[in-house]
Amino acid sequence: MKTIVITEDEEVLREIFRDELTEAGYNVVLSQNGEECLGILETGNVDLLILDVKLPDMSGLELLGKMKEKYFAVPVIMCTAYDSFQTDYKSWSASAQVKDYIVKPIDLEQLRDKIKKIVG
Amino acid sequence: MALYLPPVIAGVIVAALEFARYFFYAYKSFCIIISLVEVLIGIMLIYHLIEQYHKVQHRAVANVKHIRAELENTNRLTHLLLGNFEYDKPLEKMVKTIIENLTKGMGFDDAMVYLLEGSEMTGILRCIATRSVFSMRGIDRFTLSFITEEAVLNDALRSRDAKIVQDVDTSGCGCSKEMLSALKLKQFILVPMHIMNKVLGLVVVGNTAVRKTINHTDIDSAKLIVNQASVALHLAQLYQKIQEMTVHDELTGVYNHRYFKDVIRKELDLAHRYTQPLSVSIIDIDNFKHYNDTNGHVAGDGVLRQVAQLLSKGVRKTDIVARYGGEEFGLIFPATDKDGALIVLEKLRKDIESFPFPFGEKQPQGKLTISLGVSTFPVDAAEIRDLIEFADKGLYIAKNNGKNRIGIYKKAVPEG
Repeated sequence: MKTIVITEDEEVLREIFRDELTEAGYNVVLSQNGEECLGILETGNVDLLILDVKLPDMSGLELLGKMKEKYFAVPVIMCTAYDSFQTDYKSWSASAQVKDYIVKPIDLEQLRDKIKKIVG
Repeated sequence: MALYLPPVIAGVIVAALEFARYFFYAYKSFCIIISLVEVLIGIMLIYHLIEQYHKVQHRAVANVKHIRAELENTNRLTHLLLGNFEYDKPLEKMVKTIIENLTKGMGFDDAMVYLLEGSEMTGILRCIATRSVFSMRGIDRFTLSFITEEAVLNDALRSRDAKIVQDVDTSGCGCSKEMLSALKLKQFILVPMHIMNKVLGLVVVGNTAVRKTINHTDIDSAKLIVNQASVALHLAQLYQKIQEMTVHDELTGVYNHRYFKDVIRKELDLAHRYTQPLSVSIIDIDNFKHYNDTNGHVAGDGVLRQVAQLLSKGVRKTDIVARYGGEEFGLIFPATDKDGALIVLEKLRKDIESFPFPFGEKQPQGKLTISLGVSTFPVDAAEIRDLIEFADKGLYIAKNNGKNRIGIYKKAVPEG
């Protein structure tokens, strides 16, 4: 079973992600900030990371920078708000690690398709 | 403002002065001073009145401006919801618009849009969107059902009117623990979406903490948005119904003849442009009249439905299945040559042959079967009419050769 890590500070959204992706047959691990996310990545065996741009301790983009050295092989789907999408998109577009992105409000059907395309 | 004097105090002063004058009426100059002071107070009072009048006027102007702004907002929203009605994705657009207006526009933390599934008071309310997530299939964790505990919910839906919960922690808020833990809101308004006295759904808008006292202005604004949304939703549902009626065959659920013709035209254009093959098939149920005569029309309709379902299940994702006529079905195989189509058709023939249709044993061949005809662009024909005619001729060949088979018509090559 593929393991997907969710890094999202909004509790309700985190739970929705968990419900939805568990139902789709993935192993889902939740984290609410960058520090927790790095801890989970440390354990290895992560097939996909869904990363919110805005996090309480560090921005998703900062986290991407930190991942570059050790966890460059983990594919990432960025999650961004509609308002800041334009500027956010520019900042991560250079990263080869970011395979796709989702914009809030997140279309869950679309999310499933995007994940399927990346991890199968 | 330096001249400001409340009318009551002015009255008291004037009374005191008059009282003093009564005692000192002998001192003429003193009386004159008192009179002058009284005149001054009078002027101050008039000034005060004028100021008051201005204040009222200002307030009235501000009110009118506010109402005008509201109206403009309403117009903008109406246009967003109804003027730019997107017919292919009507619900998505509408839902996103109303959630944005309820949260960002009204300053609430979150909003949820529910659609009623099933009948009123017994069905469920399926949440299709919140501020951060959207799913037409429904977001399970927010689903609400009509249970007696949900007094506020039942109240709102029955009265078709908005209900407020100012603070969920005060006792008797009328919501179950399940509902509250699902919503994660501390204060909220429930606004039913209804049209022509029929409930379509529900909108919940609220805060994750008790931030303020929700007042009538909030309710009015929320109602305004939700009522517009109800109209848009109603339109969307009607549109969907009409769309289904014009595209699908009512009895079998597969596409209808009209849609079949539309698709074949579109696909043939694509095949021309990309120089790809395109195959078309006409399928007929063998001895269907016999089946109807023997087993009745109700059983006959059942067979039509079953065959339609088997065909739909048997084809590939991009293929099209339509009811062509009485017991005839039309199939379109985009980007598929004859060999490819024959593989799928042979599978379909076997699927039907082996399916245990009720009363199948009473058919002349001992089972219910189909005959199939096929034609392919560009090898057989280049025009729609000729393609269908070719497939039809193939079907006759199949029928004449004993049914339950695929027939291929070949152009007679001129001798010489």
